[in-house]
Amino acid sequence: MRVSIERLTKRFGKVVAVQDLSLEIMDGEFVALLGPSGCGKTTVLLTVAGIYRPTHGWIRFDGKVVNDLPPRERNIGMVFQSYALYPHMTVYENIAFPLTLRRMPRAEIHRRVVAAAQLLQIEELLDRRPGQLSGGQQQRVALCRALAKEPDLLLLDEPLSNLDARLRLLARAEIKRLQKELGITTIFVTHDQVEAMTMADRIAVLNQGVLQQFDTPEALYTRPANLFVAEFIGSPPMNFLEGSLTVHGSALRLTGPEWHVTLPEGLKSWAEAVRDRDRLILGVRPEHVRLAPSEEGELRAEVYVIEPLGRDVLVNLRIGSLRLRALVPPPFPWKVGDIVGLHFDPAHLYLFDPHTGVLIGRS
Amino acid sequence: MRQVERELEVAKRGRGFSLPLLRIRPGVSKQGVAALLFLSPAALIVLLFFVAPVLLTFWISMTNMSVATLGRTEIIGFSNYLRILRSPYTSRILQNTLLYVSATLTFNVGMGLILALLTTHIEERVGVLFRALWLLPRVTPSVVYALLWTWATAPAPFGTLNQVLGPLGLPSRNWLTTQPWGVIILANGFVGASLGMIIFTSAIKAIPPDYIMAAQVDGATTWQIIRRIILPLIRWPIMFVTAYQTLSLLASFEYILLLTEGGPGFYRTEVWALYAYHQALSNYFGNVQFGFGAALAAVLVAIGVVASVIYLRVFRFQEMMSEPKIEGV
Repeated sequence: MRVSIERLTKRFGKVVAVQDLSLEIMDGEFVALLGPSGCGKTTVLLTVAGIYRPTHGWIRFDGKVVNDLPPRERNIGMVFQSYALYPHMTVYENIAFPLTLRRMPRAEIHRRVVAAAQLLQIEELLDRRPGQLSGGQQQRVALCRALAKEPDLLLLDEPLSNLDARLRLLARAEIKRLQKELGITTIFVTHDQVEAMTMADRIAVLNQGVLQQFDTPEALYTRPANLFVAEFIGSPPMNFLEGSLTVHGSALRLTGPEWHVTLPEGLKSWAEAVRDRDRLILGVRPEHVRLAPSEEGELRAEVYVIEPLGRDVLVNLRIGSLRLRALVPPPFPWKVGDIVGLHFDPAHLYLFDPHTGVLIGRS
Repeated sequence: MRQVERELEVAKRGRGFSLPLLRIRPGVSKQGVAALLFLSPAALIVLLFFVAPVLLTFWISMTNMSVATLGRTEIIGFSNYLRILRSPYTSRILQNTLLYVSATLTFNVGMGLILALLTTHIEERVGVLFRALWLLPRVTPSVVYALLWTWATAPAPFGTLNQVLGPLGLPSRNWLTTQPWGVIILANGFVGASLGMIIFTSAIKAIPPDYIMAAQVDGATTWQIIRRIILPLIRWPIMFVTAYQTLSLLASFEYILLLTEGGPGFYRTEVWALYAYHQALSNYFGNVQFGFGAALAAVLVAIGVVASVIYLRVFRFQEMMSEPKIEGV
């Protein structure tokens, strides 16, 4: 089913939870709503579910406006962050609940419950009560309940956040696979950019109720629309260096209090276009910072903290009051307090407008 | 036994002392003393105002104490109890009590539930106001409240009820004489329902909203959500209120006393607690019979204890106390 959110605004009293949001979600697509807590992503989900009514705007399912349709008539499967398994019912009764409400024949209910339970490998849990299940099992049961009714749209509200790290990794892959197998249009709410990046076909990044960017994970990573997206997507987050533009012969430099960076060819034209701006922000991802002996680098920084991650080493660096992160391959030859040289990969630099946060250009 | 032996062994070796019954051990004893200290105020109140009166009542019930025999009271064994058994009024009063308790209980719990569900499903501010209004009878002194009912049900041309019904073409009547039970049950119920209302409201509000939303998405109507999600989740508060109200209704009689005094006519609305009160403290011409009244009260205590035990068993109160009943995940 195709889901269109058109100019959606949702207010609670004076608080604007979602403002003028438009998203077009294709049939069978897996879309993540990503943002920090309080950004309005759950509000969007509950509005699509029909639990909240839009203050302005429209929700369309396959082109048909469903603003006034109660949740029970929308044929939606939903998994809540708390899972919301009814504690007084067994797992079987929980999964069968939406089906019994449709007055489905008993045999058909049984067939569907068993089939869904097999799909999620929870057949042996059917007689238990939610209180007797582990977090991972509850999550499967919740997903099972949502899928057994064969919904047109699957809504997932932070379904992984109550799982431990190992289980989350498993569930992540499993949900993604299941979604593709069943082909159900899915909206997934999360504050975890890794979850969104790994699972979704497209990600809508929200901040304070406003859509920042709606694009594929790759595009968000390589072409962030603004500072917020650039910082939110990618772990560890992008480094930002704010300085003023100065001309040195044919070269353009961004100069800060204790540093200056010569802009590579790829950024020069962008920077020239905005020469009237007094200040600019240079963005560089930690994986695009290269370390060198102190006399070789363009910049000189002090090693502040070293965090070995196994596959990489995350190095926190200090240039005066400026802090940078670099992700470099091991072994790491320096120790805390050493002075090292820095290069930025000239092919992966970004320029942002510090006033609006908007991306000016990238190399 | 093994525990006691071990303690004796410890005691012999001089590392502490131990009384087999109290099991005071070094290290634990301080805690034990603290526990006793904390318990003592409540224990004292229970002993003084609950246990002692029951024992006294039972003792008085074994005597022929009355206004006539004051000063030369004799112990007459179970004679008062035999008198209850043989009395021709006992079955009548028992039936009255059964009717009063069961009808008022049904009204109290049912109305409490309806009020709680209604006021939690409308706008919050209106709900709060509505609940506050329903608490008014409870904070009104019983005598004033009963007086209001007497006025409301007074015979025509007075009486609010008759004045309202008259213009509608309905016959006016003396409600307290023609429908004494109806008036008594409603008067009691209007007070009693507020307890259930308060407890059920807080229980309903304690249900995580996710359950309700999940049920909505699952396709349930409001009525189905109430029946299949809310009511099962507040099962324990409902049972608690039912048990509590049964016991308090068994012992209550003040509104009957104030409204009909057990009448009209002969013991028409006399319930067991009122009968005991009448016999022991307020009989005709001051012929009060403390001993007989005490026996009636003792029987009421026994009925109460039996009812409690049944409730404890049927509702599995132990389970209720040991685990949270509304679980968030």
